[in-house]
Formats: sequence, C-alpha cells, structure tokens
Amino acid sequence: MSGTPTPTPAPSLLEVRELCTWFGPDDAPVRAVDGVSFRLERGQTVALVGESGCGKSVTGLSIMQLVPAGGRIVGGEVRLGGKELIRLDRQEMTRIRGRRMAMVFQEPMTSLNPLMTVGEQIAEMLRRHLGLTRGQATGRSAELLAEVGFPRPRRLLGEYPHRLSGGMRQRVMIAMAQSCDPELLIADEPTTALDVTVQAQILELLRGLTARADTAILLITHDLAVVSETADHVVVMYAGLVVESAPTRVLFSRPLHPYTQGLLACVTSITQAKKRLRPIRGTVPAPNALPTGCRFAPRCPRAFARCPSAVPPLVEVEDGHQVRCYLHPGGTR
Amino acid sequence: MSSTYLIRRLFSLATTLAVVALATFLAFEVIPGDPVLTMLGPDADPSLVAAMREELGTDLPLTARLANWVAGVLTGDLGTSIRYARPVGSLILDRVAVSLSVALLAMTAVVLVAIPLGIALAVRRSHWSEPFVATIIQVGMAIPSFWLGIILISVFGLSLGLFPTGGYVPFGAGLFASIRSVTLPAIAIAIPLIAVVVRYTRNSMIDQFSQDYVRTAFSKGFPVRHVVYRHVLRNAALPVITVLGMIFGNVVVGTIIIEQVFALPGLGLLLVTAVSARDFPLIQGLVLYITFFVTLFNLLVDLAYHVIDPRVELT
Amino acid sequence: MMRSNPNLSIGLAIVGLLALLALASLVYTPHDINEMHREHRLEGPSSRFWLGTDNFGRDVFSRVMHGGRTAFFVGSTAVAIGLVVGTLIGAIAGYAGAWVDEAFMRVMDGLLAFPGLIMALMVIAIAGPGTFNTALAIGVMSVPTISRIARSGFIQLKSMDFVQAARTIGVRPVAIMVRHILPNVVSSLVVAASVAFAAAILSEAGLSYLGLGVQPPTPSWGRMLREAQGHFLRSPWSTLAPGLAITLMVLGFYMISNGVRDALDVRGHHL
Repeated sequence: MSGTPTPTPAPSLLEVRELCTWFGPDDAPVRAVDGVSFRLERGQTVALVGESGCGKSVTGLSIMQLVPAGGRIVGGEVRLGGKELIRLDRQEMTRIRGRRMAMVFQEPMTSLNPLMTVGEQIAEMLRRHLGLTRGQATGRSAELLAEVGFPRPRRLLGEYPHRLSGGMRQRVMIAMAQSCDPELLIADEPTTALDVTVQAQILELLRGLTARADTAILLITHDLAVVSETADHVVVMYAGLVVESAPTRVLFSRPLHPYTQGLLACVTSITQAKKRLRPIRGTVPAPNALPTGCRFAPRCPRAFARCPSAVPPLVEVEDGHQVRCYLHPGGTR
Repeated sequence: MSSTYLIRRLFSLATTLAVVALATFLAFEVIPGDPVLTMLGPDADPSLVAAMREELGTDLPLTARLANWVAGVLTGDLGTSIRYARPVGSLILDRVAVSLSVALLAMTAVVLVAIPLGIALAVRRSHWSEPFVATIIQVGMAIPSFWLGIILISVFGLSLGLFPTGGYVPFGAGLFASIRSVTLPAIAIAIPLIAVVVRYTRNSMIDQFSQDYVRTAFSKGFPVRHVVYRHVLRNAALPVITVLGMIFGNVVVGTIIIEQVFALPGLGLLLVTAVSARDFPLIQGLVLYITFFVTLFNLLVDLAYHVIDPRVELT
Repeated sequence: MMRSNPNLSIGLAIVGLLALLALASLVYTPHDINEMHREHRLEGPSSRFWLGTDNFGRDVFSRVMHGGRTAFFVGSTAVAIGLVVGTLIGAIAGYAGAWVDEAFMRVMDGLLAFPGLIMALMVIAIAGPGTFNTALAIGVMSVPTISRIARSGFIQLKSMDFVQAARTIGVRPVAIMVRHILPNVVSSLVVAASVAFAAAILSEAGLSYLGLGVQPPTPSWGRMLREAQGHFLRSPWSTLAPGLAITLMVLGFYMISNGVRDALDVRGHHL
C-alpha cells in the first residue's frame, strides 16, 4: 500500500509507541518502562494489567508527562488525538493536563490537598481550564459532586478531605478528574485502597463516565476481576514490556502467554472449577537485574531452550490479539 | 477551631504558667543560708539586715511566703527592687519598649527574609549549589549574634556612621530615629535565626513536593507557580510556624545579650545588672515577666497553627 | 552505612583540631596568656603574635588556645550534667508511665517555657558566676529538652517485643532499662548531646560576654570579646579570633549532630 492517496483514518485517541521511561543513573538505568506500545480509541476502556513493579503506573504517569523525580522518558511517542506530547513544552502540557486528559490515583487518602476544601479543589480546575467565575465554578462543582453520587453536594463543598472516607475521597477525585470533560481518564488502581463494596461503586461510576460522556479510560490495575467487568481491551505488562494484548473476551477465553494464563489461574471466579488454582511461582525480576531473553522465562512453567536467547517480539496472532512468546511465533504457528 | 481544643490549650497554658511561677519562687528558696545575708554580704549592718528581712518577708514560713508571692503575681505586684528601691513592675514598664522593639524588629526581619529565601531555595534547587547553600546555612546558624553585633556596630556605626553606635531613641522622639536605633541590634539577632528558618522552610517545602497531593495538582494542569503558591505553601507553612514559635525564645535571649553590646537600656540590661547585683526580687520579677511573655507568644503561634490546619479536631 | 558522610567527617575534623589546640595549651602556649606586652598593644598578626595582641598587649592566639580549654570544660561538664539528669528523669517518666509520667512532663513543659539563657541566669544569680557554676547553669538549662528526648525513646521501646519478653521472664525493671532500653536510646541522645554541646558553647560565650560566666583571669572566648569590644577598627583580630573560634566550634558540633543523624536515618534530607 504505497503511492495511492487513501483517506487517512482519524488518529486513535491515544497512541503509545515504544515508550521507554528509565530511572536512576544513565550508565546503569532502571528500565521501568522499556518499549511499551498500545492504543486507545475514543470512548473505549483499556486495562493495563500486571503485578506491582511491572511498570504500569509509570506508563500512566509517562502519558501524563508526570514522571516522578529521578525518572525520564528516554524514547518513544505518546500521541493524544495525533498530537505528540513528549516533546511538548511545559506550558502547553499544562493546558492539556486536567483539560484533555485527567488522572485518578491509587491513594485517595493522600491525593487530595489536606488544607483545601473539596469545593476549592474542584473549582480551581474549572476556573483554570474553562474560565468560569468563582460563582459559576462553585455551582458547577456542586453539580459534579451530585453526579458522582453525593446526596448533599452543597454541604460537601466546604468540607476538608480528612472528614471524608476513602471511598468519598475517591469519588471527589473522580468528580475533579471529569470536571473539564476530558477525552481520556487515566485511573491508576482507583479501587485498590478501598473496601470491596466501595470498589463496585467506583467502578460503576467509571463505567457511567464512558457511557455518558464518551470519555476513554485507561484503567491501570492488578485485579483481573475488575478488568473483566470494565474493560473492552486488555494490555498485559510484565517487567516493563507488553507481553499480551487482546480484546477482553478473547483474552479471558484464550489467553496465550503463560504469564497471562498464570494471572488468570489466580482468579477463581473466572477459571472453570476443574482448573486448579495455582499462583505464579517466583517474583517479578528487579528492573535493574532483568534476565536476558524473555523476562518471564525464569518463572515460566513452559520455558524451553530458546527463551533465554533474546527478548521475543510482540507478534499479532489474530486480529487485535498480540503476544510476546516463542510458543506463538506468529505466522509460522 | 474546636472549643474543646481551646479549653485544653488554655488549661495547659495555666499549668505551664503555674510551674513557671512556682519554679521562679522555689529557685530563690534553695539558696543555702540566709538570702538576705547572701544579698547584703556577711558584714552588713544588722539593722539593715533586719529591715530587709521584714521587707522581703523572709522571716515568714515557706507557705506564707509562697502565698504572698502568688498573690503578688496575680495582682501584678512583683515586689520591690533592692538595688533601685523601686517596684519591680514599674522598672519593667519603663524598659519594656526597648526590648520589645528590638525583638519584634528582629522577628519581622527573620520572617520577611527567611521564608521567601527558604521557598526560593526549595523551588530552585540545583545539584551544584546544594553544598554551598548547606555550608552557608550551617555557618550562619553557628555565628554568635553578639559577636556579629560588635562587628556591625564597628563597621556601620563607628566607621561608616550610618547607624548610632548605641543607646535607644524612644518612639516619642521620632519613629524613624527610633527604628534606626534598634536596627543593627535586630539585624545581629536575626542573621543566625534567618539561617535556622531558611533551613526549615526549605526542608519543609521539599518534603511537601514529594507528597501525593502535589502530583494531583500537577495532574490537574496547573503550572509550577500555582502548585507552589496555592498548594504547597500552605502545607509547608505548618512546621515553619512551629519553628517561628520556638525561635522567639532565641530572639528574647538574643535581645538580652545584644542590649549589652549596644548599651540599650532594656529588660536585658536590667536583668544583667540585677544578676550581678544579686537583686533577687528584681530577677524573680524579670524572669517571670519574660517567661510569661514568651509563653503567651507561643500560645498565639499554636492557635495560628490550628487556624490554618483544619485537621486539629482529630488530635 | 559506609557511604561518605562529609558532615560527620568535617565536623569531627573541626572539633578535633580545636580540641588539639585546647589540649596543647595544657603544656604549651606561644606566650604566657596573662603576660602584658605593653609596647605591643592591639597589634595585628605577626610572626611573634600569630593572631596579634589585645588591648592589654596579651597574645590573642595563646588566649584563644586556652579559651578553647575553658569552652571544652564548660561544654562537656554541662552536657554531662544535662545527659545524666535528663536521661534519668526521662527514663523514669517514660518507663513508669501513668501519673508519674504526667507529673514529670508537666514540670518539664513548665521548665521548657523558660528561654534557655534565662534559666542559666537564674542559676548564676543563685550560685554566683565562675567556671563550674557556668557549666552547672548551662547543664540545668539543657535538662528539659534531653529528658523529653529520653522519655519518648523509652516510651517507644518499652512496648516493643524484646522488652516485653524480658519482662515476662522476670528481669527487674532497672535491669531492663539499663541493659535493654538504654542502648537503643543512645543514638538519639548522641544527636541531642552534640546539639546541646553547640548550645552550651554559645551560652558560655554569651554569659562570659555579659560578665556573668567565666571570670578572669581564666580566659574565655566570650570574655575576650567583652574586652575587645570597641577596639575592632584599630585591631580587628582581637575581636575576629575569639568570634571565629566560637563559630567554628559551634559549627563543628552542628555538623557532627547532622552527620550522626545522616548515618542513623537515611530518609532524612536536611542541609
């Protein structure tokens, strides 16, 4: 498909290509994210799944251009609606954050400013990005709080975060994140710190968001139960790399990578009763001491001679289903 | 601020003041032998000794003397100075303006210089400047203020003639001249304390930068300036406020010594004279007055802290 | 743990150097500290008088050396008093708990309300000036702070498993305190002691400058400043030398305390 001018398709909402985010000194970097690629369409929910330390949170923060101190994006592209974000200057980036993409964090207890009221924290965003007056911003903040399920939003505006429960704070965070109608919401383990009953409410809220406002969600989680209920597509990460990527239903019915299979085997409710529940042996390798070859090989029950030779490529085995494993060498399969 | 907190705080203030008053009273009770003879010397005129005994009430039993002392303190009667033969209260009132202007000017200088400097050093942190800043701050903290005062008086007073070399000009004689007469002493006291507060402010800011809510603020699309001034500053202010309360005691001590350097007729000079003359009623009165003052200042600082921090109800 | 610790090494070097000079003054000073070279008053540094002479024609360098001895004596005596009394009070309060603790701490809070030097001045007024009394006054001044540090250490540790274990097997309270808890409180006390030492040097200088501390003929840095005052423009060295000595000594102890803190606790980042 060369010369002929085909109508270029509208770019994906979010396209991450070969993203690399490293920490520590240049001569011995910690490769937290080491060449991650995936895309996310408008209104879609993609789950980024993996054990802690696999680089999924750093991926989320890299997309926001909020890499923690000591880390830096050393390569790759992050495109939001076709616009490259990595080389954007700081000022332009502040106009995108909060406005076109927003983030909800794992720790509702500490993610809100303890010395500002809930109202102030929502309103300041509306005033900055939408140019509302103080009065308008207050009114809109109350509406937003009502939308996330607070029965008496006006009263909540003057409260300080320490008076709210974890679930309430996370709802405030969501109200804040959706306040400027962003196209993309990155939710980093939004339910991990919460009670099970509250978890369900928060997920319901997020689902409502995609349905109502057509907001795309990048859901970062280690919890496959959450994924099955929420996501359209799943990207599985291991040790800084994408190891499998597939539509949710496909991934749950036909997982190809031994790591994904291992993760699914840990979730009883998903697996058939006769399948035995077995945890994955071993632990995630430290990102500064990665094995050569396939990074999962040392823990893999199906590893064979070829695995330690080189990192296997990510190949498309069927439409929308990619896997990084020598057991599934693409076309030759 | 909750009223239970206020009540608890006032109660602890009352016990603190009671301990202070009791300690000040008892301190001069442990003097071995006869306090009157200690004051007047063993060769004093017996009639004078007897008169003094009656005057001080040292012939009364301990409990009665304590009751007298407490009653006096509560009614503002701090006794009579032996050396000046005047009520301690009026001696203090005559001189308090001097010390107060030095202390307040020094405190103001510390706040106005140290806090912006600390913020700037936290925001513009660079790898190469770090050791220099650290060294300057540590050296600054180690400098004795009265030594600084001696040098300042020589350079800016004697040599350049920009400031008077000593003495106090009261407010009545012109505000400008009055402030000028306490400027050098205030600077001498302020410089080492500026180092202390810069360090705290800077560290407090840096601590806050790594908090989750700062990441949230950035994720909301605010530039560094907004995040620093609207979010971080308020949180970083809390430990700094505590330190300001703590260093007020240092300012007061600094004032006591610096008054000697600049020959300022304030409470410090009065206290030094009283100690050398072993004028016990005067010492007692001054110690009590100064300590009460510092304690009340600390109460204000504490209340300010809890006005800023809504979480007080939890503690 | 074995990473470089510039604060600690520089601090120890400064204090070590000053200690060496102070120790040397026991056996040798370039000049007699009280000998007045009347024809050489207020001179600048020379090969004969390394830091010049004061207004009586006395050798400033020799007096700074000897003043260091005074400073070390007062500092270590004061810190020793503060540590012994403070730790004892803190240990008893922290270990006993309940109303004993409450009462002790109310009193300590009250005493803490006295600005440091005020309490020292009160002790001087009662005991009179002089080298030992100065040390006593400064030691008393540091008791409330040190007792609070010791107390919080003891409270933290007494609930720990190994202490509980020792208690259940019937070890006597005093033995528990000395053998099990004290070694664990030592580190924070070392930090407190070096800060207290720095404060003691400053207080000694202040008191002696006021004429209420160390008395002549014993040389003290604060006293030297008192005598040099007014001669700065003619001969800055008689003012600069003792002031620099105080600053260096205090700086050295600050750096030691920061260095010890660095070595014990990795997360703290301070200047």
